[in-house]
Amino acid sequence: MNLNIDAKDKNTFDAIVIGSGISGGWAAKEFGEKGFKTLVLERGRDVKHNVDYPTTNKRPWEFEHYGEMPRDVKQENPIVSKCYAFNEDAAHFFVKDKEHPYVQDKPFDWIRGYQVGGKSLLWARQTQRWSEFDFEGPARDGFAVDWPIRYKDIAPWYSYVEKFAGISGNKDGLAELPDGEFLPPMEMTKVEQYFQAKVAELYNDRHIIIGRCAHITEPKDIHIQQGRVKCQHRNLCQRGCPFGGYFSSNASTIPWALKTGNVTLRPNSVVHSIIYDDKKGKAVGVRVIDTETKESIEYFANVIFVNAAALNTNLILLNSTSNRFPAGLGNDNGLLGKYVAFHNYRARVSAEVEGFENFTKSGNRPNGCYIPRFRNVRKQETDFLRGYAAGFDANRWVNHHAEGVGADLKANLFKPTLGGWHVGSHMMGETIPKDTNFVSLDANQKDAWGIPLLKINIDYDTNDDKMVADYLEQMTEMFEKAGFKNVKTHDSKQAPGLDIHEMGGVRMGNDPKTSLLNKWNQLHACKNVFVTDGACMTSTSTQNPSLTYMALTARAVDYAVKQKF
Amino acid sequence: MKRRMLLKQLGLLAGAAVVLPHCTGKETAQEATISLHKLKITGHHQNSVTALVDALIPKTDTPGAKELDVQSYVWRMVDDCTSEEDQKKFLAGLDHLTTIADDRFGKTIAECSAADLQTLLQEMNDGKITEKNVGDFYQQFRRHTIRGFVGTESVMTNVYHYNMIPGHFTGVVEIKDPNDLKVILG
Ligand SMILES: Cc1cc2nc3c(=O)[nH]c(=O)nc-3n(C[C@H](O)[C@H](O)[C@H](O)COP(=O)(O)OP(=O)(O)OC[C@H]3O[C@@H](n4cnc5c(N)ncnc54)[C@H](O)[C@@H]3O)c2cc1C
Repeated sequence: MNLNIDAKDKNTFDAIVIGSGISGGWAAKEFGEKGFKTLVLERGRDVKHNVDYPTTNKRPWEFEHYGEMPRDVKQENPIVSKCYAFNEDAAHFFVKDKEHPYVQDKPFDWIRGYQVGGKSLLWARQTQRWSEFDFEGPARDGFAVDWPIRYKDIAPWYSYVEKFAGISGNKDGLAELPDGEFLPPMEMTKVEQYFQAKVAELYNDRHIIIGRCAHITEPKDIHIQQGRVKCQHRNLCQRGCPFGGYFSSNASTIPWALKTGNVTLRPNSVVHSIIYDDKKGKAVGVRVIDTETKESIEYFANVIFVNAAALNTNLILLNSTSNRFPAGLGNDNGLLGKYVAFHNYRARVSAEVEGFENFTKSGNRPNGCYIPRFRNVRKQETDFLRGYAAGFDANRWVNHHAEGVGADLKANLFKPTLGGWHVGSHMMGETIPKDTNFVSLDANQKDAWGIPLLKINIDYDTNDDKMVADYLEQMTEMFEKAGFKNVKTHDSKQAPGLDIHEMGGVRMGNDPKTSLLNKWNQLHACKNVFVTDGACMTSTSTQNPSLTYMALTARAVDYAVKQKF
Repeated sequence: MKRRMLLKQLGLLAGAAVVLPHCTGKETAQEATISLHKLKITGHHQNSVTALVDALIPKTDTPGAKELDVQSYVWRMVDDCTSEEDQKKFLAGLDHLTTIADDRFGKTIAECSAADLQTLLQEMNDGKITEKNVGDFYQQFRRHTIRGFVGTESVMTNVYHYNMIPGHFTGVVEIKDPNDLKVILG
């Protein structure tokens, strides 16, 4: 008897956080700082800052294939191989297709990182705030449901997380992309500056700005306290940064959380489901499978944060069934898993630039330029809903001369020359959440831990196709008006998923009949369970989403610690 | 190996229909000293590629590709990062090139002088020898050798001034000396 009570005591915490990626890392830090005894459960292995970045200081020639993935690996892993960052230097931070299968009712490239830090090691670090126009979107345009929050609710939390994470950017003063607590911006190249000025001259609603990114361009005291220093412009971020130059959970929130002494990190712990107590009328803990011992263990807490990354959070909730919630935790309205959306990254435009021969750049920039959404911002003006943001870069080619054989060839190789300038852009389109875009549990197939496989049923629609066409047309026009030559457009038709911005399924809303979470990210029907990763998103807008997950998480923890659960 | 040449001189080797092993017993028996994952190669294949790597990018006042062990990179790429079809073409082309070298010079590729090999390389480069997968072999061989060579520590650091930690990004640099490699490679 006593033994059991002891075991239960040992396994009881004030808070449990599921997942240690971008959002879970923030939950851990906030709870730890507020004195909550917190257990962070992470399905993958531990990745300690610096210690577990095996490739971080490898020089290019130290990779067997100079970075290229072997044929066998690509053939065995057709999905993750599509991700641009899946190379010899960072492959160990990606989930391999075979290890963690899922069911594609429709093609969906699900890119995942299962380890302490999740995808925060791998992300491209672009960080933009949402604006009032974004939160108003669904209500104005009549899709999804109204967001239960507005910009003013989240603005202070954006500031809060930006200061700690370290966000570089320029104060551009744009209502559609609010400024943040910026460290100095990175520089633009000569042609980027030219295009910026040209677009400003030609359009009053379109802007070219330097990307806002989670890099420390000037360390503040708070970064030094984290042991992080200035970004060294190595452009090797996906390996894990020994300088902590960019924000990752591993370099920032997780060690900070552990330092409070209140947080226990348990890697190799797959959360199977959340335990709901019918008598108490609330969630009481989680069921975990230890991936090393295969043992099933239960942990208990008053409050549970689900931060397993959007689709895995859906999976955990769908798999958390009880008498009260036979269709998944909090799923009274049958909408759990539905209204999933993503960002449309299908299209790109490139062109050549004449002139500017006397200019080049020096060093590396782990960042690019950004074109905030200019379509349908203030009012509906096209035959499609919403719009797109775009990336933009201008660089010079370096011509490597490889003519001839023998000593001639060698001499040529030693004399690369500067080629012309070229520009490139890619779209990031908002997609409209629909009940026909959903995830569910496979009725038969289970993974190695006895958890049903996730079944994904997500597709583009005609709104997305129209948006692709418009982006290609508008960007071509902008490039041509700027005098760029040989403009080329491309629609990769890539499947959803490769944007790695999947969102929704557990959306926020005011009405429990049409949403799963309230304005504090609590399940309407089970108030001590919070979802603050991408699953909570009511709509997607066009911004890179992770900064918003961070802000929502910090805000939700602040609320949670004030409740009496 | 002189046998083909001898037969040829004797007028006994007429037309492509005559099939003769182009390597003597001694050489076929020779095993490769590198171990590969998929490809089955002989010591002859290995020595041939080494000689060709050396001829394509020779030692001058700076180390050549052979000295920098680019041949190992070439084999790694063909072995690990190449489709089965292209692997077959690579070896078939190399085998046929062996026959051509024997016909022309009466030598194995490894025995040929750098000048002889450079003549062959130049012809392949000019698209004059493409038959029986020699063209396919050459494309792959050349790509990997060049990439392998420019990616070596020696070239990256001594020629291209590789620096893992630039520490900065300057967006606008006005070019004073257009031949300054540090400026070109930015
Ligand atoms: C190459 C790349 C580029 C990107 N670029 C950007 C960008 O520029 N800007 C941007 O905003 N976003 C970007 N993203 C997306 C960004 O990485 C994600 O939005 C972000 O990491 C999501 O945070 P998260 O906490 O929800 O999930 P993650 O960071 O993925 O963390 C989730 C964690 O939960 C764990 N987990 C999952 N299931 C379970 C379970 N059952 N039990 C226990 N633990 C579990 C996982 O192992 C993982 O560690 C990029 C992603 C990639 C891969």
